[in-house]
Amino acid sequence: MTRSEPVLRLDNLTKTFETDCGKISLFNGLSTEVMEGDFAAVVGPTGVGKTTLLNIIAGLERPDQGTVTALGQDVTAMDDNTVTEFRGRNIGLVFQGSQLLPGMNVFQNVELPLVIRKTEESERKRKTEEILEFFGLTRKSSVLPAALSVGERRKAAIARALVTEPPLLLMDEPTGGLDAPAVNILTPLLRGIHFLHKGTILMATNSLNLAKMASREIPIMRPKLLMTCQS
Amino acid sequence: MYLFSSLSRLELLAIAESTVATAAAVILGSSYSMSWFSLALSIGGLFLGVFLVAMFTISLQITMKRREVAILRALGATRSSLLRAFLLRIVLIAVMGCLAGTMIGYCVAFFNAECSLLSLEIVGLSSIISLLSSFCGGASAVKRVLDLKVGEVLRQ
Repeated sequence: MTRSEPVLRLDNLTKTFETDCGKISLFNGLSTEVMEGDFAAVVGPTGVGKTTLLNIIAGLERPDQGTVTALGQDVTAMDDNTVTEFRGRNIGLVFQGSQLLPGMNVFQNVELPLVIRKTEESERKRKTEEILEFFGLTRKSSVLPAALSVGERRKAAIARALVTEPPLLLMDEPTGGLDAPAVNILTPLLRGIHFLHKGTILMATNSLNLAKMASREIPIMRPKLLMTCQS
Repeated sequence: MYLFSSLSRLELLAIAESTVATAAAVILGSSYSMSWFSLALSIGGLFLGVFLVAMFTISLQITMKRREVAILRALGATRSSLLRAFLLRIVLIAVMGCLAGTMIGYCVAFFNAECSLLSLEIVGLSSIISLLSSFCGGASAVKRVLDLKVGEVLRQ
């Protein structure tokens, strides 16, 4: 794929939701492209659907209208198994709130995507150790997530997403819920990831400071109220 | 697989229930005072009891692990690989309950004068029904893994 080709293309994307008091429409025909090597930030206040957008791109949710083309393939047209395998091979995901498996230590959590991909054990160990070292988590590798600080958990979650060196990295509020010192540690780290990670990064955030780091911003409009319930 | 380490309390409960029901079926089935009607009732009770307990405990287990399942799905684990892991676990539970129940039931019936009808057929039939019912109960609960909406679970 050359520099000028989009890694991600969203065409006329809309997602509707039924709420307790009405039907809302998110994105309202959003169309955009993210080029290879870009660091793009999906920005907008809480509740505009940033997480939903990342979920749709990752194939975890389906849009009501429009298509998502990632790495040249239409994610919205894939069946569940195909999209799961595609995600495992090509997309690194950092969820809001880390989402580490509580019964596994840091090493096992970070190694997990490689286990799912059935990577050879020696290769798995080498890659996991390397990424843990980069994130300064080597000494915490045998610790369970509950014993980590929120910042360390977030770092482990980012390490897990990067361990497979995915061409597309999706990060949902990477500094959300962190205190100022933890944000100060994580922000340069994210800059470093962009520098070292050769793939494309799409980050959802409502932090203006974090969005400034990105090479471009994708603003999300406020949801449209389609129908209100009668009281 | 990565979802399971040691046996959980719920799984131990399913094994214990399956053990008791299988042992009871072997003992009752070999008792000379049993009629064909009561034998059919005890076999039916064994099937239904083990089926329901297996379904209930495995359902609960899956509900407790739904976030883990959602994370694994999001990281690229396919439905079939997760289903395989759950089904293997159910087979393990079914076999353990069946073996323990058959052994206990056989020992009690062997040393009990009332159980003069103890035969290979009775032991075999009880074991097969116990195995089948726990597997069917567990498998019907595992279907829920397939219907998990990953995005929604992770958002909660």
